[in-house]
Amino acid sequence: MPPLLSRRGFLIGVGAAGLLATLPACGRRVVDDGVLDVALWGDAKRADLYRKALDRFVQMHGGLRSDLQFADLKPYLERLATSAAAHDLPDVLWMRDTHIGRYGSAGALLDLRPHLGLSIDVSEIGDVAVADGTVDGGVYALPTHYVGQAVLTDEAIVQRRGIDFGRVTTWAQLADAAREAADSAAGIYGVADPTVGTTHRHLEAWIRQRGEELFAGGDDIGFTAETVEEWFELWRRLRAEGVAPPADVQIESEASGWTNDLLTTGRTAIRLASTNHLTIVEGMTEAPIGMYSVPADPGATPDWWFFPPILVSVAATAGAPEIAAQLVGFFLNDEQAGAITKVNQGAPSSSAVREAILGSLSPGERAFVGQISREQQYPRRPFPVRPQGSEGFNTVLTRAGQEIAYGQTSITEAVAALIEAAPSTLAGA
Amino acid sequence: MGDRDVVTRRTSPDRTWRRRASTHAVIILIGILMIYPLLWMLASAFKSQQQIFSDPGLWPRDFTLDNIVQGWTALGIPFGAFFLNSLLVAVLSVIGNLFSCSLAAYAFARLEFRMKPILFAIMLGTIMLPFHVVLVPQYILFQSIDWTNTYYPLVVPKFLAVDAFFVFLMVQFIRGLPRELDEAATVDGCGPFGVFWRIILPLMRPAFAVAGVFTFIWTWNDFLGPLLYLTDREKYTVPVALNAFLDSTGASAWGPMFAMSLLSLVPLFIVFLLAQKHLVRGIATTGIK
Repeated sequence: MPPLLSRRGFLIGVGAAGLLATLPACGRRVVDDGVLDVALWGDAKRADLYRKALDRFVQMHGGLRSDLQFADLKPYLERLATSAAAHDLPDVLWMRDTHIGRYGSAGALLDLRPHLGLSIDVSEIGDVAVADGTVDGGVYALPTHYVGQAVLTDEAIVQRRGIDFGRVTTWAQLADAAREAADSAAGIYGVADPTVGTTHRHLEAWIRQRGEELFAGGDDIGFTAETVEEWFELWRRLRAEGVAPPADVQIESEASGWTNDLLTTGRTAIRLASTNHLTIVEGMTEAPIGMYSVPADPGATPDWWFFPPILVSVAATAGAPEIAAQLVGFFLNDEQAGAITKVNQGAPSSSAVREAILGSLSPGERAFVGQISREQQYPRRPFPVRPQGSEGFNTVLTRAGQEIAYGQTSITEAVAALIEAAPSTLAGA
Repeated sequence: MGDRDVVTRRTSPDRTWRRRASTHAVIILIGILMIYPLLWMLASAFKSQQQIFSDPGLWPRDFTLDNIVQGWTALGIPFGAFFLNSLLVAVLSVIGNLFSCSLAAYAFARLEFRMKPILFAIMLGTIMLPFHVVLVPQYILFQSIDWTNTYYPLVVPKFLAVDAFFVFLMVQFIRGLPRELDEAATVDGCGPFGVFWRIILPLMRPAFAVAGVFTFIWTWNDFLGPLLYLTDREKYTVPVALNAFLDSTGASAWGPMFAMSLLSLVPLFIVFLLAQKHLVRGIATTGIK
């Protein structure tokens, strides 16, 4: 029986097939020039808004082409990490405040200082905003938007219980209001427990109100054990009284997002949240939702206010840094782009854009932008850039909160373990 | 007499029926527990967004098809396009894996060449290598030849026998085939490729079924690879498109996502149904028992 195909013939065939497969790709390499790659996290709705805004920029720069890539936050960060390792970051990319320290110090991002005041007008966002993206003296990002901390209330419950939440200004008053609002017979908790969730911005507010910082710069924490113990003790007491939900109820609620949130489903009267969450909750419940500033005790430092920035950066490998910088300036200051993207990512950092879009916002959106504008008038000390392992430390905080809530460990032990784990966690180990 | 009574009691139809019924009840209960997440997703696909998490029941109070309608068009491109993309990648991956892994397996199982044991050990070693270890080097490689935002990184490696698991599976299967068949073919004038084509390949159908079905399922469900390499929305595969419904920092479109997730299971069911007979035989004969 003759062989169907000789060994040599087969190998030549496979080699030729491989070569053919590479040819079309080789042809594309040069075509990529002139395409501005932009990346942001979020869903398709957000991507559509930013696509429209980007189209406007492209129209203003005839001949330019752009690609917009997006993914939900976690996969977005995974993709970013991989492409950064390959020196293949998108030209313009949205950046988390938790990651700017890592990417900035690693040399993956372009230092925007030469473009400030030229391609990028920062007069409407101020020096504090520029400091938000400053790492080791270089400006590696600028905030397009801000979010703030807030207290959201189910006004129907609060008013039914005769509580005037507008008069709540201290943490003790918030706890008292929660006790009054709790209605165990109706299955309504007074306040949702923020210690077992995935973000800990209100703890950071608590720490800053005591003149300390969550992160002290470098890989150090900037708070004392006593401060964090007091925070956990406040919530332990409320849980023990049945005012805050038990750990399993709170964690189950957190796991399924806003759709099943205790506030959205009318199972709690008060919830600590971000300002931009107001519009999300309002869209999911018929109950009127109130938004208030975070309480502070009488002895709190007056300059504790902070606003986590939504940052935009330019990759160090950007093919056309000047155009990329212009796009950053465009997203910071262009009022028509702001009218398209509105408050999808937060309140615009530019006061001029905020003013310009105010009339087109829904009442809830106006309230959220208004609260940030009002609070930004207060004195603010710098908001330290997050260290490399800040996300990891966030996870450690969640674990400590959950272990305390489940009664697996004492507050003192949990906080001691937290502080012990901090140096290695913050170093990104 | 007494012994006979015992035997009669042990084998009485009534008792046997009861034992079978209780066994079936336990198995059905465990089955329901295992399938509950799927049933929950099925129910959620036909519930309003508000009811998905507030109503734990498996029967929608207000049955709605809105999620399917919205989900199909929510990404600006009919969702069917993502199905076609996934199908393209999955089918090419199946072809690639069957073609290349069977050749590699044949070589390891039947041919003699230099450093065969070492190469076989290296091949097996790659099974133990976590995907994340090679993620960045692979990305750098594909990026350097400008293959990002194309399907090549997802498909071309499949034609190069990189799925060591399937190579190993096929090696085991080929080792179980009688060598006398090869020898008879050789006597009749077949070379190595002739033996492979005329003798080994026709007998490998069960192993092909296992490798084909698993390749299809794994490729269809793969998220990380397409996420890294495909950035144009038009090129998204189904898992990446499903992710576009999610915004963990805001409000996710759970209903449309569940509806499209449900539809995305249909091709997997079809493949499973078509290959079920061969799959069972393949699992029994390839050593993945």
